Amino acid sequence: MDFASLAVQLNAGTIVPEAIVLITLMTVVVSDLIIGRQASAQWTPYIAIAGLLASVVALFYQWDVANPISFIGEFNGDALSVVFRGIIALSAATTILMSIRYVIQSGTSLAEFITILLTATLGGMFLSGSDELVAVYVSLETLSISSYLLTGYTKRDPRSNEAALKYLLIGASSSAIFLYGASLLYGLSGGETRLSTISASIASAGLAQSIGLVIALVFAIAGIAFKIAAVPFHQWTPDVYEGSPTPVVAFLSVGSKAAGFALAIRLLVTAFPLVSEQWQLVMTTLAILSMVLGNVVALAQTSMKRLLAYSSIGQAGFVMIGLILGTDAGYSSMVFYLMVYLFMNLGAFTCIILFTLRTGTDQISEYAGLYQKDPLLTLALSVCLLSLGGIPPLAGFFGKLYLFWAGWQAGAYPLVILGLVTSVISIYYYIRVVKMMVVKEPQEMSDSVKNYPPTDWTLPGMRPLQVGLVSALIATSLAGIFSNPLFTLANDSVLKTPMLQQALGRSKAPIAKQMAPTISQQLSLQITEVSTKKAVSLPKSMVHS
Amino acid sequence: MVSTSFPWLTTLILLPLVASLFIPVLPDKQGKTVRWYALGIGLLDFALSVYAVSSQYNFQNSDFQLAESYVWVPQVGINWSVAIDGISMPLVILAGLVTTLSMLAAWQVKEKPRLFYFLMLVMYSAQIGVFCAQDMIQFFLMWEVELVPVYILISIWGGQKRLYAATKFILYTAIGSIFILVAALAMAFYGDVMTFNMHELGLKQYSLPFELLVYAGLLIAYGVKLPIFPLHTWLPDAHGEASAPVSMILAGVLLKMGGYALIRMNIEMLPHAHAYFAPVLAILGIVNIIYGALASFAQRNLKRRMAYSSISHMGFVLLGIASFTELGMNGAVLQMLSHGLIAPALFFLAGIVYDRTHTLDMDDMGGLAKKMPTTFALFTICSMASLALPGMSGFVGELAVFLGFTTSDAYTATFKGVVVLLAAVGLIITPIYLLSMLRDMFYGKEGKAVVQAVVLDVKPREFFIAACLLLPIIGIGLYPKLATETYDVKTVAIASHARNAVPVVANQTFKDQPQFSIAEQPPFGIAPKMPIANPELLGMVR
Amino acid sequence: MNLAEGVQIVSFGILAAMMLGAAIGVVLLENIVYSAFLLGGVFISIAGIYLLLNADFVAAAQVLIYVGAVNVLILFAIMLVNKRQDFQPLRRGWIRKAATAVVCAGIFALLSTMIVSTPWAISTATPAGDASVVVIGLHFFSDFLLPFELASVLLLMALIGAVVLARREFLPDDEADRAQVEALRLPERPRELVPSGRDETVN
Repeated sequence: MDFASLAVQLNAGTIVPEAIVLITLMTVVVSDLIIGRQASAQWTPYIAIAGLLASVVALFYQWDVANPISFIGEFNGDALSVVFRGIIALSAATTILMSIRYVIQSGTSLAEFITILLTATLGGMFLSGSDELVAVYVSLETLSISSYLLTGYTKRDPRSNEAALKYLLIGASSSAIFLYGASLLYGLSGGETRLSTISASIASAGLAQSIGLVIALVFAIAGIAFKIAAVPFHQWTPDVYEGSPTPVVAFLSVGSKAAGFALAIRLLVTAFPLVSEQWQLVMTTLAILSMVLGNVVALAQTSMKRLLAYSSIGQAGFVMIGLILGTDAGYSSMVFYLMVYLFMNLGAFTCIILFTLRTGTDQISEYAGLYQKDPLLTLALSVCLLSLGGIPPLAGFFGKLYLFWAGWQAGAYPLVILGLVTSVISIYYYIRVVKMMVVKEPQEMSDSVKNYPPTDWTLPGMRPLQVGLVSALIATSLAGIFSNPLFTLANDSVLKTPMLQQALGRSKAPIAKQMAPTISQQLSLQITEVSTKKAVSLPKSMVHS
Repeated sequence: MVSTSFPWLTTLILLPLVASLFIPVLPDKQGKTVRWYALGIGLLDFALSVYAVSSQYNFQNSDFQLAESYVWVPQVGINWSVAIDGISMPLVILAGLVTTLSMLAAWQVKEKPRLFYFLMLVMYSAQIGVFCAQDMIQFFLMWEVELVPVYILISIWGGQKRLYAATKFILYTAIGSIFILVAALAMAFYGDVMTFNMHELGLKQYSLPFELLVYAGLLIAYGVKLPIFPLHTWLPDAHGEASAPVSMILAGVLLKMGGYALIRMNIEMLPHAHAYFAPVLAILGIVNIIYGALASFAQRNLKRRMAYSSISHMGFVLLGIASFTELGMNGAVLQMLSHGLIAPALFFLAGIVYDRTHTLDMDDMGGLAKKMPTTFALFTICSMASLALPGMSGFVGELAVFLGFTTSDAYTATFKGVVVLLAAVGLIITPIYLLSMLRDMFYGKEGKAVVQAVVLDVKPREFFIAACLLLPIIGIGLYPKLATETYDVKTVAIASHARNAVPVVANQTFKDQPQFSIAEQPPFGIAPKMPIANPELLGMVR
Repeated sequence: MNLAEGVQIVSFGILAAMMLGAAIGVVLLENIVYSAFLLGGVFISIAGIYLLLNADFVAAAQVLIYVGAVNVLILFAIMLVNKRQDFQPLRRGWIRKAATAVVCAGIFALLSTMIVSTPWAISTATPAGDASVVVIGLHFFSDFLLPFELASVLLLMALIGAVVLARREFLPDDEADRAQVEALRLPERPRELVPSGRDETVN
C-alpha cells in the first residue's frame, strides 16, 4: 500500500475540526512552557476559545461533505456527528469562558486546566464520530481520563479529591464493563470491529437471537449509561458534581453528556439493530427511572450544585425519550434538546460560578435576597432555571415540547405523560431557587448576600464571565422563540445521516412482525385500537348554517 | 386600505412584552418613570385594541376576524396565528381595561417597582395572547407564560401567607396545564393530518370515547382556572393573599381565561362530548353557585369573602355554557364580562380599605361609612352590581343565563326545574353575604382598626379607577345591547353548533330515535324533550 | 492427540491453575504486599496464556507493561505509604462477603453459559505467528491510525495530568492578596490540611 493511495483512503479532511483543537492544545501547552505561567494566563484561554470557535466554523464546512467515512472506516463524520461535535466544542468554549476567573481565584494554573479540558473535548468530539470499536474505546477513555483529572484539579480541596477518586473508580469499572461488551461483539461477529459491519456479520453467523448479543448489549449500555448519568448508573453524579470545580461540572453535564448520547445513538443504532426491542426496553426503563428519581430527589437538595446534579439526571431522562422512539423526530428532538440544554445549563453554571466567586458558597439558602444586590445575576439564573423547568417562552420549553411531540407521534403516550408530570415537579424545585432570590425581603437576606461585594467586571477573568453570562441569557431567552433554524439544523442532521436513515428504513418491518410483548408492541396495539374506533365512529352530520 | 393588512393583534400582544424588556434599562431612581412608562404602554395598548376593534372588526360577522397567521416552527407544525371573534373580542378589551387600571391602582407600589411593572406588562401580553391564539400550542404557551409572573406577583407583593398561596397557585395551574398539552397533542395527532390549528382541530372527526377523554382532560385544566368546585381551593388563598392590583387581574381576567377556553375548545371543538358533559357542567355550576355563596358567608376576611363570591358567580358561566341555547351562551359571556368588571372593582375598593385601616378582618372594621363616605358609596354600588340588582350588568348576565337554561330543550323539565331552583337559592344567599359584608364594614360601631387608623377617603386617582369600572357596569345594566350586540352573532353560532351535536349524539346512542335537523326543530320551549345522551348519568335527575 | 497438543493442554492447565490461585490470593490475603506480588503472578500467567494463543507480542507487552511497570508501581506505592493500620472488622461483614460471592457466582454462571452455548464465529485466517509485530504495525498505520494517534494525545494528557497532580503548588501570595478580599473565598480554596505522616515522625 503506497502512501498516496493511503492518503486518499484516509480522507483525513473530515477531522479538520479535531485537528484544529489539537493544534490549539499544543499551542497552549508549548506557549505556557515558553513564556511562563504568569504571562500565559493572560491570553492562553483566548487562544483556546478562538481555536474551539475555529473548530466550530470548520465543522460548518463539514456539514455537506460528500464522503464522511474516513480513516478506513474508523471515523464517520456524518451530519449527526457534526452536530454533536459542535455541541461539545461550544460547551468547551463556554466552560473556558467561565473557568478563567475561577481557576485564577482557586490558585491553580490555568494552562494545564485548559490543556486537559481541550483533551477532553477532543475525546468527546472523536467519540461522536467514531465508527469502530477501538476508536470508540480510545476516545471514550480520552474523554474519561481527562474528566477524572479535571474533577480532581483543585487538589488541595479534600472534596475535589474525593470526587476524583469516586469518579475514577466507578468510571474505570464502567469502562471495563463496556470493554467486555465490545470484546463480546468482536467475538460474536467473527472479528469485526467496525460498527456498521458488526450487525451484518452477527446476523449472517446466525447469532441474532443469542444470549451473547444480549449480554454484550447490557454491558455496552452500562458503559453508556454511566456517561450520561442515567439511573441506576448515576450514583457518582451528586458527589462528583458537588466536589469538583464548578466549571468542570458544567462541562461534564453538557459536553461529556452530549458525547455519551452521540455514542448511544451510534452504537445502539448501528451495532445493535438485531436487538432493538431489547435496547429500547432497557432504555425505556432507564429513562423512566431517571426522570422520576432525578426530579424527585432534586426536591430535597440544599446545595445548588447537587440540585443541578439531580436535575441533570432528570434532564437526561427526558432526552432518552427521544432515543427510545426510533423515529426521525425522536432523534432530531434529542439533538434539539441537547442544543438548548447547552445554553441553559451552561448559563445556570455561569451564574453559580459568579455567585460562588463572590460569596464562597453554593447553598441554596444563601441565595436569599440576591435580587436586591445583583439583579443581572438574578435575572440570568432565573431565566436559565425556568428554562430548564420548561417554562415558555424560554428555550427549554420548545426543547421539551419537541421531545413530547415526537413521543406522542411515535405513540409513547405513557412516557410523554410521565415526562410532563416530572417536568411539573421540576418546576417546583427550580422555582424554589427563583423564589429564594427574588421574593425574600431585605431583612430575610442571607449573610452571604448581605456581605455581597459590588460587581467589579474589570478584575482579570471577569469580563469573559460576563460575556458568557449575557450570551447564555440571550440565547436561552431567544433560542426558543426564534428556534426555527435550530429545528432545521436538528432535523437535517438526522435526515442527512445515512446510518439513521438506513436504520429507520430497515427497522420498520421487523418491529411489526416479531418480538415478545414489549412496550412498543403494547403501544402499537393502542394505536390500532384507536384507529379501529375511529373507523367505526359515525361521521358528524353537522350542518354549518 | 393600509390598516387592514396591519398586524393588529400581533402588535397588541407583543407591544407590552417588548416594552417590558426596556424596563430594566430605564433611567429611574424612585420608580416614578417606570410607573408612568408602564401605564403609558398599558393605555396605548388598550387604545390600540379599542381602535382596532372599532375600525376593523365587523360585529355582524361570526367568523374570525383580524386574522393573521405566520409559520413559526413548521417542523412541529406550530404557527403564530391570531384572530378574534365574538367570544374573544370583548375579553381582549376587558383584559386591556382591567390590566391598565390595575397598573394605575398600583401607583403606590414602593417595593421593587421595576420588577412589578415588568411582570404586569408580561401578564398583559400573555392575557391578550391567550384570548387571541388560534393555535393550540401557541395558546398553551401564552397560558403558561402568565404562570410565573402571577407566582412572583403574589409571592412578593402579597399578604401574610403569600408564599403558601403562590405555591398552591402554581402547582394547581401547572398540573392542570399538563392536560392542555396532552389534549393538544392527542387531538393534533388524531387522524391523518397533524395540525395544531384550533379551527382545523374542530373539523376533525373524533371517535366518541376519544372526544370524551379529551373533554374531561380539558375540563380539569380549565376547571382549575375557572375554578370549578373541587379544583377551586387555590383561589381563595391566591385572591386573598395577593395585593389589590394583582387580585384585580386575577379575578378580572385570569378566571375568564378558564371560561373562555371552555367555550373555545370544549364546546366548539368537542361538541359531541359536550352533549354528554353538559349536565355535569350544569350540576357543577350549581355546586359552584351554592357552595361559593355559603363558603363566602362563612369568611371573616374581606378578600376571601370576595374570592368565594367569585366562585359563586363563575357557576353561572358554567350554567350558561351547559344550556345549549343562544340566550344561555350569551348570558355566559355577559356574566364573564360583568364579573370581569365587578370583581376588580370590589377588590380595588377592598384594597383602598386595607390601605387605610391595615386590616382585612371584618371584625376589626365597622363604622367606616362616616369616615369614608365616597368609598362607602362606591362599595355599595359594586356590591349591588355583584348581587345582581336590576340595572346593573350582573343582573342582565344572570337573567340571561336563567332564561337560557329554562328555555333549553336539551334537558327534561324536572332537571331544569331542580337546577333553576337551586341556582335561585344561590342567588338569594348572595345578597345575604354581600349586605352583611357592607354592614360589618361600614355600619355600626367603629372597629378597633378604624379607631386607630388615620382614615382618608378616596383620592381622585382612586375615584377615577372605580368610575372607569362602574360606568360600563351600569351602562351594560341599563342597555345590555351595548355589550351583547358586539358578540351576539358568535354566541348564536356556538349555541347552534353545540345544539346540533345533541341529536347526533342521541342518535348514536339510541338508534331508533328520529334525528332532528336544524330545520325541523320546533321553537324552544315546546320542543319534545330530547333524551339526554347518557341516560345512566342523568338517571337521578330525570 | 499428538505431543504438541498434549503439551498445550498441560501448559494451559498449569497456567490456568496458577492464574486462578494467584488471583484468589490477591483477593483473600490480608497482607497487601503479598497481594501485590501475587498480582504479578496473575499477570505472568496471563502472558503465558497469550503465548499459547500465538500472541507473542501481546504476551511480551503484558510482561513488560503490567509486570514491569504497573505492578512495580503498585509495590512502590505500597512501600512509600507504609502506613500500618489495622482494619476494624466490620460487623456482619460476612453478609457483604456472601452477597458478593452470590453476585460473582451468578455473573460467572451467566457468562460461562453464554460462552459455552454460543456457536462462536471463529476467524479462519492463519495466525501471523512471528510476523505479528509487523501485522500490528501495519494495522496501526493503516486502519487503526486514528485510535493510535489519539492514544498519543491521551498519553500526553495523562503525563500532564500526572505532573499537575504530583507537583507541589507554589501559591504566589502577593497575587492572591491583591485581587481578593475576605469574601472572595471559594469552597475549593485550601483548608487546614491534615499533614500526612507527621504523627509518626514526631513520635
